[in-house]
Amino acid sequence: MFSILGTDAKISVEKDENLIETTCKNTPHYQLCINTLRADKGSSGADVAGLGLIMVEAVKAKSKEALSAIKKLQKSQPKLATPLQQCRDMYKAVVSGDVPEAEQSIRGNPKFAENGMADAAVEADDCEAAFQGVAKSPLTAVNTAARELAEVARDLTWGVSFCPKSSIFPISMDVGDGGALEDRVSDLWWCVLVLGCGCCSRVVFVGVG
Amino acid sequence: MAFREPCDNTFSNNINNAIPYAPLLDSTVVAEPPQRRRRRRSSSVVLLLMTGLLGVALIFAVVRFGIRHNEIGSRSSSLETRRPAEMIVPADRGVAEGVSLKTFGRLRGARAYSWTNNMLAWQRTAFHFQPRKNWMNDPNGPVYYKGWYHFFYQYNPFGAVWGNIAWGHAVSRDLIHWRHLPIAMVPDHWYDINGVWTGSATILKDGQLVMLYTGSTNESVQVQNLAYPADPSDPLLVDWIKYPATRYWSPHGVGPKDFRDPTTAWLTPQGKWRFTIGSKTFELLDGVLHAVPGTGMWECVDFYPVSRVMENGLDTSDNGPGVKHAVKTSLDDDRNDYYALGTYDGTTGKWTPDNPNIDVGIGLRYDYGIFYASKTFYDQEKKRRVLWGWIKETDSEAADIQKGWASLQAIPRTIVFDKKTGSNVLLWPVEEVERLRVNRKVFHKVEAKPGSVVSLDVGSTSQLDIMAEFEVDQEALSRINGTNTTYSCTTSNGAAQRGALGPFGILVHTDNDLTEQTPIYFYISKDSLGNLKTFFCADHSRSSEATDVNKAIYGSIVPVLKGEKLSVRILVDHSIVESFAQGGRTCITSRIYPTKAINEDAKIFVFNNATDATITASLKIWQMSSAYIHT
Repeated sequence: MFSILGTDAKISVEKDENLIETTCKNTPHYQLCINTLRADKGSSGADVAGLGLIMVEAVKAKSKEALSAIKKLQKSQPKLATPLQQCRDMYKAVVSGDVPEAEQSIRGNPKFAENGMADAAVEADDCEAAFQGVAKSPLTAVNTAARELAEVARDLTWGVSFCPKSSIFPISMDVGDGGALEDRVSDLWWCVLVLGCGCCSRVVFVGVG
Repeated sequence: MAFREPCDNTFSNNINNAIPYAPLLDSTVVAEPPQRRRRRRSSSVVLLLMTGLLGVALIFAVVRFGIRHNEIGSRSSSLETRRPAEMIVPADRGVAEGVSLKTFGRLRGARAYSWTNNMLAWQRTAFHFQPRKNWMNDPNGPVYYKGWYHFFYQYNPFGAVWGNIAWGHAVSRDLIHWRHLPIAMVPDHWYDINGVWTGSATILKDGQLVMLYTGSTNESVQVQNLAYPADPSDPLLVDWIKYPATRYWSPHGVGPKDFRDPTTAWLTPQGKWRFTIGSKTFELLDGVLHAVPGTGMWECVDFYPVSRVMENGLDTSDNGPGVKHAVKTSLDDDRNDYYALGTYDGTTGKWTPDNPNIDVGIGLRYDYGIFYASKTFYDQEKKRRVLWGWIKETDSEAADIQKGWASLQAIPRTIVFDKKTGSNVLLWPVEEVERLRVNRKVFHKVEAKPGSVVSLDVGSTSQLDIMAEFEVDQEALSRINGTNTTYSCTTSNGAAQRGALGPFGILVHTDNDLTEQTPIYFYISKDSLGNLKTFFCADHSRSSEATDVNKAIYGSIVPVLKGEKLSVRILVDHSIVESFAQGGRTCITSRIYPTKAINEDAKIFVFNNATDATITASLKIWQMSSAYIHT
């Protein structure tokens, strides 16, 4: 079951595990997700946003690893100067743009975090593509790892702003009405309270009295 | 639908009680650096959070600046005492659905398009507001002050993606020609170190200007902050001071991202100032906040009066029998701005919408294309209500990084009540944009038979103002048998889907071979009873050969009253196209990223892809000069 936890530290370890497992099930690389999160001590007691941040940091670390590798290759493989320079630009964009975007937005504006990590996956992929027709890519391993981590982070951050689809709710109602209207009002309130934002789409305007 | 209870049990136990909230700062004045002497407010503005406005939607906040604490307001009526129903878990989102909006055009495994510098350079606009480079999003604090229009905006000074959010600032005499000024506010205090987020301006009765804005704190909690001009006699308002002694209300137990986007204040008949903050309904009582359930949280709430009888706009505090009030909200999930018209009672603080029926799926939108986080302000100089809207990119973030910038603002639009329909507003680009018109060309009664395309020779086509009227062959209109098939712009096959009475309209950003084309069109459907419905759509499905750009089709029904011709206005400015049908009843903003239909290779056409009706178009087309936005 997918659940959203508060930041209250009194959460049992079992619940943490459930959260990590459930959250990772929503990503395209379950085992990578599990391994990365479990390796970080901060994952116990973290909420979904916290788990997302751990993945973002993993993307950052992997991107820095790529940049190191590129630097070495630029010296040892001058024939690959063009694709290597392109890759360097791409990973620099991830570290200086996408990662801060995700770090700053994951609590409060998670849609930008999703954008940032989606782009990080694109940049890693484009780096691999830069070698097409030129040579066999010397960065396949790190590009694949970076792309997969970013895809996991992207889907994790999406989970932070999890919005159930096709919710129809009224605005403007009298809570004393009772019946179906009251249920829908309550649903609206809990929807926005727990899931935040204008998660509860398909606004319906209802007049009362 | 029910939801799982939040795990924060303290909150659910407390919803029935007054929840004491500690202010994040005590009221001690924080010492300021000598060059910024804090000025004591003599006039007080009272922030009062009241319950029940709209029954759900808004909280009204009246805030008092300064150190004194005063009685705030009356207690709300009985608090909601229900516990939430047990929540069921929403269906797991499949991984396939998890693709970000940003990657819609890009299938897994597909490569990004190889954008050339030429293509990317063409995308920058000539007369739309945008900073020289980097990322922009929501408009903030638009205001007319001492002879200048001020525009602030969410800005990343360091890159073409969101982040490090500060308030950019620009001024103009005419809402079209802008001068960029230094950044007005940067994240530099604990209460906004994670971002100086969206806010609004208010001019107090004595002419003073204050800004309310949302700060994201060092712990990513959102709080409402205040700022005021360092030198109110400076019409350019270059420097701003953040007001450190304000109490920051951030109730414990409520999700930290629930306080967002304060909007403009207005004066009630009781002489109190009210603010709305898109969140749940809260009531402030002697420093204590009560949560009242049954309310919703929306980003970017806006609330303003429109005159039912007069042509001009209304000051935010206006009310009376000839006045309707519009409520607008941006929904975070589907990223659209919805509005409704109703009646506001300032005494009771209640707003009642005009349409009392539950109408599933009906919500009027300012714009059926790419148009978010919009904000209005009252231009007291020209007595009009003006709307700003953030127009994001619909290409890939990677392309944004490559070209070094992202996002535009729409041309500011006036909002007036549509007296003819009585049920919506009309949006129209401010008249000042017409000063950019040059080289007018008139095309009188251009006939386009079914299945035809007519070229319009206007010279360069990247910067245009097109006004067009269409007449539909009356004989075909009456002869055609109606059907019960429904039409919708968004689910149709765009301009390629032929009907008896449509689609027909104008192709912009189109190359000679029509391989890249952006149809802006009308589609008339007739039901079996003979009733006509008119749809107004913008079709991006073939707008570009690139694989990583948005190719959706946008639009909606447009009301057409008896005797009215079909009319459209299209502002073309490189990668943005703004289209207005029936004088602004239905608007669509498009982002277009052609690879071929750029510079001298782009043309415009009248087209008619209907099977039966001939159409006749009369057009006035101007080139548009650049607005030469100054740094």
